[in-house]
Amino acid sequence: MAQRFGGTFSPAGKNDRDYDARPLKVTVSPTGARSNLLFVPGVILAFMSFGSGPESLALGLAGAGTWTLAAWLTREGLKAESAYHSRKVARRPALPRKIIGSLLIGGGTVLAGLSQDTGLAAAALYGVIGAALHMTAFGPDPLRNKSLEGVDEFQQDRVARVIDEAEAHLDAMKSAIRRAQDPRMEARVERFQQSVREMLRTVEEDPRDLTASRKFLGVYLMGARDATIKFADIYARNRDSAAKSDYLMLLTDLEENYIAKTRKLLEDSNSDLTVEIDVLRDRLQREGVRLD
Amino acid sequence: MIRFVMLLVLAAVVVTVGAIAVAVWSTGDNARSGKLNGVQKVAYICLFAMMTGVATGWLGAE
Repeated sequence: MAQRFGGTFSPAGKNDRDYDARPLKVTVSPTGARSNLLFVPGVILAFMSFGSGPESLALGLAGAGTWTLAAWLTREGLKAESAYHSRKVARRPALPRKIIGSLLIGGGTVLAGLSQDTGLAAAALYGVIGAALHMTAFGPDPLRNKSLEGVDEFQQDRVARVIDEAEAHLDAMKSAIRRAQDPRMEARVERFQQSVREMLRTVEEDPRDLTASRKFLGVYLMGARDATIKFADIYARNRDSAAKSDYLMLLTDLEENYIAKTRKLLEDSNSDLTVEIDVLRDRLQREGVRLD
Repeated sequence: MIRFVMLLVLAAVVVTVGAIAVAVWSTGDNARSGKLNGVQKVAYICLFAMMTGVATGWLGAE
């Protein structure tokens, strides 16, 4: 995929080439135009409410507000659903945003219908149909916790909690680096986050790795977040190239450590498998079964 | 009044059927990548048209 910055002849392109070695995974926004377009009818309703008397105006504005809230909840629900699907161990969203969005679409449609003098019966029918169509178009929220087969639920809960905290640190880093207003630095931080997320997925698959990687997902990540916040403040103020180079070195060091640790965790999982195979072979041989 | 209640019940059935249809059809790669399937696309277009129609007054009581 083409990038608008960072080529050989771009400003500072040659100096910064060394940290672009790993390809950046492109993530598509789960919301898209379909949820953003839902904001449009609310705006139309707000405009159409003027000029038909105070009662119609009040109902229209209330309906527009309800629709806007529903559209916002739907968008947040789609984001939460995408995060749920991208993880192997996940808790269901605490608030069923899309279902509440469906109900609010119904309520907003009733108010909109009343503001246009359609009558209570017709407005209520439009409301129910609106809620049904919204539910059909966007579906319900995930209503069950997602867990791996054969892994202790308590351990999975612990992992899910640690991963939630780690994701919060990553989000804080992302929003902090945006303040620096440097697309190359944003891409660099995103690449670092990619290596952290690889570790998160590894821990999700085998919760026994949590103890070994706890420092990486807690203290180190918190340190990286704090350093990012400080760097973004300094760099946004005076574009300090020394601070940029120090920060880049820190990110490179951290990234290398995260990659090495993830590799180590995967190797440990492989050696666990080898031990299990050896134990099973021994038992079968003791039982008199030959494996050739 | 009875006709109104019947219509509301009918619409509630539509909600339930819609939700079940989504639960059945949305499982799979499309749902995970955030894409809409055919049923969802049609429902979305109808929803948008209905909301716009109610907002502008094109959809009246008759």
